[in-house]
Amino acid sequence: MSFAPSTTSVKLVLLGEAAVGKSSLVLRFVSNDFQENKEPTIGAAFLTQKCTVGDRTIKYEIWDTAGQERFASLAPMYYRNAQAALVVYDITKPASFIKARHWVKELHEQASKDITIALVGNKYDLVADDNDSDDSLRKVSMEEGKALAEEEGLLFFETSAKSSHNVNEVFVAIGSKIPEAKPVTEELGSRPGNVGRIDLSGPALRSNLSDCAC
Amino acid sequence: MPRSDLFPELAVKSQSKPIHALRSKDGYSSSQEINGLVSDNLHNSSDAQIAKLVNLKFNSNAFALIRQLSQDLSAKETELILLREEKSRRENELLRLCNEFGNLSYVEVDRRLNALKPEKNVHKVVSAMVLDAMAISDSQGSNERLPKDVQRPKPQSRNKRTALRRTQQPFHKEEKSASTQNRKSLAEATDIRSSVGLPVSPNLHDTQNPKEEPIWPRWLHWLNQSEESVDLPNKSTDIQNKSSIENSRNKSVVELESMGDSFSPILTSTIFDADKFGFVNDKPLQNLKCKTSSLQDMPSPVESPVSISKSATEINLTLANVENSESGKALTTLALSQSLDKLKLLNEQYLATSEMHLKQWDILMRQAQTSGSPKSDQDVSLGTFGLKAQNLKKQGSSLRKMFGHEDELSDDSKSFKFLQRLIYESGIPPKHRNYLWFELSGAKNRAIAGEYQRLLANSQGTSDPTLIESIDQIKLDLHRTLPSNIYFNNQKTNGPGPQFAALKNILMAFAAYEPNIGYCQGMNKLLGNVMLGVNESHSHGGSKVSEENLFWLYVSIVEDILPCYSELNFFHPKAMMLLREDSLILRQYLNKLMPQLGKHLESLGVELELVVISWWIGVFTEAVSSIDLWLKLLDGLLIADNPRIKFHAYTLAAFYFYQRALCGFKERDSIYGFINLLKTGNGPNIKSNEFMSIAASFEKQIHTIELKSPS
Ligand SMILES: Nc1nc2c(ncn2[C@@H]2O[C@H](COP(=O)(O)OP(=O)(O)OP(=O)(O)O)[C@@H](O)[C@H]2O)c(=O)[nH]1
Ligand SMILES: [Mg+2]
Repeated sequence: MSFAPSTTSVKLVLLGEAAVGKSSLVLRFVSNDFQENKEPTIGAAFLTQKCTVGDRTIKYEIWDTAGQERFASLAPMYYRNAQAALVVYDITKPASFIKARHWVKELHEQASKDITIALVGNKYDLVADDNDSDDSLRKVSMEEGKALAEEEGLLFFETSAKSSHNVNEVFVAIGSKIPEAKPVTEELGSRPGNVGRIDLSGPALRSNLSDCAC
Repeated sequence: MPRSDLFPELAVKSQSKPIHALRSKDGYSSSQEINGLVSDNLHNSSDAQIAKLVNLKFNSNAFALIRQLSQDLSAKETELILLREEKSRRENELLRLCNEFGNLSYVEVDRRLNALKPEKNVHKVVSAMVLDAMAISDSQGSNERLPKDVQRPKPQSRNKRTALRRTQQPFHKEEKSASTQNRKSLAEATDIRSSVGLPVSPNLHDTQNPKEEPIWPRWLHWLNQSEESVDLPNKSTDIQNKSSIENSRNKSVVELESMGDSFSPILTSTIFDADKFGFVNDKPLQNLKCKTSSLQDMPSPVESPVSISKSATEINLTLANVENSESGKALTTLALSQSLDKLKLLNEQYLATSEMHLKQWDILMRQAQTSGSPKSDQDVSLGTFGLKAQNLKKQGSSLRKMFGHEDELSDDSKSFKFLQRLIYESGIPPKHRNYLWFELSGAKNRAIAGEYQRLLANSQGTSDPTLIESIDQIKLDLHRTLPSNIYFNNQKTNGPGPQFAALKNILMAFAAYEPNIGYCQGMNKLLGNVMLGVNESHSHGGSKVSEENLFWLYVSIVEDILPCYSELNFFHPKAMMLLREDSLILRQYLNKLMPQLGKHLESLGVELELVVISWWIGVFTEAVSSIDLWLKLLDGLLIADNPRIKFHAYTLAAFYFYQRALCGFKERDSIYGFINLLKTGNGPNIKSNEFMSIAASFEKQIHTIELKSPS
């Protein structure tokens, strides 16, 4: 037998108000890149990234959804069967934190029971220097975030897609919480696991293997 | 003896500093002062100054000066030929790339163009040009080859100069729709280049100098050499050349003037190099890498039957000149003139086919404008097509029925059918786009003078919470709309582009106009793309569209052209669920019409709806990679009998063209990944007329499919 690490596919969905930085977090994680003017996501976008957690490789199949309220009714299509979710808010926008609460609630009610959820307060770079000053841009304190996470049993991070602060950490933490050896039960296609398979995805998807800093 | 005497190609290669190189050979002073004097402005000097120059620098030998001037001139000509040839090759390469990959990013095009090695050998260039011209006619079925004796005639110094000058005619001007046919021929020509050597003039000084006699066999020899051996770069001359090559690149990285007219008067003076729609570096390079590999097994676009590029015409003319001139006798053979005849014929055919549609459009537009001349006051406000477009929507009847019934309008009805056919065949040409969009969308009927200003004012200081919500979202999305396009985002300053304000105003005015619909993400890209289409039309002399009229065009597209779901507007918040339901129906169509793809996607567990929904909300901006094609899709929507069915038909057509690629993927995420790449503009190039005809045939078939009631 070979020493090839087992690969687990994990379907992960990103939810959160528009412009909080969902797509930017994914771009940072997948391509280690940041764009000041990231186009709004229309419907949803799909990306993959592999990540080594402990002795196994996790392949994230990421669904990055559109944030505008009127798309909320489409969200169930994307979080259906998801094993992990990132609920993102912008720490400079209180309304986005309220929206995050709603998403957490909805996920607990509608999504799979064993879904791993991380609450992510993004745009940390905007407050990194003046965390304590009165005119800080910060509008949602870290304590509020932590409290919600504890209450609902979520992982919690404050991140910056711009500076890449804590971005990989989120995905590693999710990876280590994902139950082991559930070798890719894919309800729809019932495909065999990816163990030992040749990766046929394009170079953009493949090249990231080496980029993954986690 | 300096090396360049023995190897004329080295002298040629030193094109960047011709005078220098040539003079040092003769042992003359190479001081800058004289360089400038001899080459540039001797004609401005007085006789006395020239006499002084001859005395001082040419040992009173006026012939030496003349020879020097002649050498300089010849070297300059050489340099020009090489630069033109390089430019022409860059253009050809660009055309090939555009054809192969669709809308390439500026960076990628630039990278590839810079990868082309500049040709430094003028003799090779000239002979290749002659061969290119002949190969084009050869590839059309002529199997005449030049007789042996024509292939290697003795060089005649008298005609060389002439030939050289003639070939400098602007052969590089490319017809914008240069076909693959021609490019293929050029490629073939390159292949046979090595096997046929044609005499082309060397530089004047080469033959004037008796010392150089023994060179002839040598350059004839390398004319016949294989490409590789000729291409071997000489390190030192390479470096010499570099500056001139770089120069030519700095001037303009991509020679786009032949790909379309300059796109907008507003931005002609801009420092940006952008494509004709104003996109700058719009695709991440990482995606491009992926693109090339994932598109390997794309269905190759069908090549258009007959068409050759204008460059061939120019070569044709060049050759004709050579042929007619006394000095060109060496080239004149029966075979060659036959080839030229063929070439001319082909060119005519090409021009005929490429202009046929445009002529038809012109005829139609003339008809429309005369037959649409107002008969009553009402007609004035309704316009030519607007009336029909409007009635059509209201009565839900098909175009044909509509026009069949109203005898009064039979003239218009004819032109409308004509119009419909033309739109499917060629799309609305940019020149007529603005006029027709405004007419066909019914915008002309909707426009209410002064209303736009009122709405704008309303949107400013509103206290209506739903309107505020829309406006907040618009503000979040404005700077994220087509960020790689110079019209909306000034890449240099990272500030707003010249049309940023119009985008903002129109979106806001619409939110005020229809608060229930408000603003929906996706509208920004829709409006942005519409604006790019209008810009292109402007630059082709299309009717001027003001911001206000643009607003009404946008209103009409959103309210009358896009499908409705149970009377709800396409972008209405509550329509989203209905859109989702409709996307489930698409799967049934797909399984019926493309069963193989349907099975494949099903076996991989691909959730088609996830893809389709995004395509629809973005009104296909994310489904096709090129704006050109997208504009045609919009053209088709404007005259669609049933926009909802049209949406299905377009979606199926897109899948049809992506089918080969999709069926090649063995994993679900590769499929989603491929679809995601389309958003970034990295997709296979699809010919719009093929897309439209496939969509039309799907549209017909859809009506025959019995839907299973959704369980
Ligand atoms: N300063 C800062 N800006 C960020 C950060 N993350 C994202 N942004 C900016 O916020 C804006 C929105 O980012 P997106 O990633 O598009 O947000 P989104 O959540 O995907 O938005 P939707 O697709 O509309 O739902 C962009 O202009 C980003 O450049 C961050 O960590 N710090
Ligand atoms: Mg996004």
